[in-house]
Amino acid sequence: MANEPKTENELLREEVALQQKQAEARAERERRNEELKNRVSVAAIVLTTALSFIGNVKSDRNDAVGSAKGAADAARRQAAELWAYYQTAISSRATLEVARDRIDLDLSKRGLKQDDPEARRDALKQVEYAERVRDFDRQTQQVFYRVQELEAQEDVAARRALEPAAAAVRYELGSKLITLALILLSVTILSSKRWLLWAGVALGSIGLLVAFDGYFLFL
Amino acid sequence: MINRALLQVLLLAGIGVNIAFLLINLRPDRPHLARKKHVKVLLRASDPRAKWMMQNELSEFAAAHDLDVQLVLAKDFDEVHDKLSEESKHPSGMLLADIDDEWSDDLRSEKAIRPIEDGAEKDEAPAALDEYLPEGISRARQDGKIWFLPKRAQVDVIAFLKPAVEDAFLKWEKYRKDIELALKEANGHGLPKGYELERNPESWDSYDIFVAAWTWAHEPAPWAEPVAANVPIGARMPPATVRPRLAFRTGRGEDAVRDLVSAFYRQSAKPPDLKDPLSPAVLDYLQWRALWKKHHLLAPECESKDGIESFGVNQLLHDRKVAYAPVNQPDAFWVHGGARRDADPGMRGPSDLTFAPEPVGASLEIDPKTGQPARQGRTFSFEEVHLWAVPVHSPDVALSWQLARFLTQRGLQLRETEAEGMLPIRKDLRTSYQVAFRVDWMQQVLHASYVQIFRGSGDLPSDLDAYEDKILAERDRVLAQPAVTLEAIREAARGQ
Repeated sequence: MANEPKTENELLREEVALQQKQAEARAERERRNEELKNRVSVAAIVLTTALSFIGNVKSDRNDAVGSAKGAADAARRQAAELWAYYQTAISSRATLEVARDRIDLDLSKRGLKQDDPEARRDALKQVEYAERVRDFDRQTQQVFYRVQELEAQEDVAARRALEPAAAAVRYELGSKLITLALILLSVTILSSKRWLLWAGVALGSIGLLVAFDGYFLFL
Repeated sequence: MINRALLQVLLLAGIGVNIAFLLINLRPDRPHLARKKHVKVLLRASDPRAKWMMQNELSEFAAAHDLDVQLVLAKDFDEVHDKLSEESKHPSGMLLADIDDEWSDDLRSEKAIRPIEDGAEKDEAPAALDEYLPEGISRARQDGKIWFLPKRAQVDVIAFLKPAVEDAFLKWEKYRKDIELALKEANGHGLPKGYELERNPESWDSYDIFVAAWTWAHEPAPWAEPVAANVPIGARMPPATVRPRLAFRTGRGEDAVRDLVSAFYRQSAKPPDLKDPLSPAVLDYLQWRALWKKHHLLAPECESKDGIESFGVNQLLHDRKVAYAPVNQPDAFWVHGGARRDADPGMRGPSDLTFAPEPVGASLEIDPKTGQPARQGRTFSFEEVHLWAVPVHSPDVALSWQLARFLTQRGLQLRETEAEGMLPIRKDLRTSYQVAFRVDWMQQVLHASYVQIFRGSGDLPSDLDAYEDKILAERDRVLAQPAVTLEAIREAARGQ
């Protein structure tokens, strides 16, 4: 009795049961996959949105760095040009002073009286030299003030670039970490490996924290 | 169930993160999350310097750190001390204070300040301290802790008018006999054997000062008031006048005491000599002072009843009424003028102004064997170091540290020196001042100052307050009598 072959009905019932089991397993797998996909999608939406905002703020900080460095460079160039002019003027002034001193010495050697025509001519020349020396002094003084201002501007601009540059580095690193997290999330969908989702979320969170530090500059 | 709740939390966190980034996008520059923090900075500075610091230094730091900085000004370091003591009892948000090295021990013992290194990261403070000069480091580090950050240094040097020195060099021989006679009355000998006036005040000693001052006091000075009158070029100058052209601080204030004691040091005095009214160094200098007085070689303003202090001496130099006087770095910049666009007008013909270390002291007494001064001294000037200190109840000690570091960075020290005059306390500026400061006269001020520190400088005696009145009384006794011999000076000093 026990070894009696199964009837056709029994075989059919077993096959139906097996098919039902397989269908259930498939449905369960599909449900789990669907759930994974949903989670990946939500994580990806959050990270992509954050990436977009981080991209904007990074771009702003980079612009700030570029603008500050540009201002520093412009101030440096202008100061260097003015300084070259200052030195030329100082050198011309020194030449005039030497000429004036020579006339002085010459006059004293020759022992001419003040009303002597030659002495008068030399005195005239001395006045001209003295006036030019005074003009050089005025010009160089103004140039010096301008150079002072430009050098201060250069310093301030260079310092102004430091903070946004530090922020931009953090935003950049944060963006890269989030991009890597998004890649992991993509692989999660292909491979349906749940642990990859959590790895992606963890990496994305680190990226977000790094990007936040771009704002606060705690570290 | 827990899993679902966790997922919801994560989703909400994600939305929160995105909202936060959206907000950051509205104002990407940081930090503006809270209202500005109100802090105070205590400074001993003139109004122009305080204004300059606010505009060029503190405002930048305040903007970067979201601060509202209020400057509290003190007229001298005594007042700084009082304000710090008050702050320790009734904290009002003082972040940083400017003190000088003479007050540092008192403030520490009164627990009015705390070590500045408390605000630094581990190992940050010792590394930072390496950027400053040794004299700054030695004052900043006390009892194994870094209490202060050096702010700036200050040392007296000599300011003189070049044409005045040239005049003295060319004309002094005319007065040699008179000078010899005057000196003979004091030392029984006259000028040292083989004496010649040195061409450059950088190598002058007491005799050179006497000889130059004598010549100036007897010769009309076309380089003095006539130049200050600022007549148009080529126009007839006002007549040159004759008056004493030497100036020192002769009053009873802090500067005058410093001047007097440094002059004793130039005659080789050591700290214990200051308490001995009969020590040779003290008597030697007072003998010179008596001789100057007898022959009216000091500017009349210096010989007035109350004497004059730094401001008076600076004004005399500024008006070209004197040819040779001590100045510190801010004074030198003020006298010269033109350090910044809105600076006070300086002296007329400032290219005549030059700077040198203080003269070398020499005794009036001559060694009969050699014919040279019996006691040769040295050049000397007191070096004052100003420090940044953190009040004991600083509202944010890390911020105090950052502000002190910010204010002493190379760029700002350089700008402040150029604009207001000071002696930078950073190593990199001392080694490169001839490149970093490109205007000739500024280089000269700094060069003379660094040479002074190298050749002879030191701290003011810590207990000077205890006996400075005695020193001033001794000076007054000596100068109240007319005799100039060493014996007479000794008697007067003794109080007989």
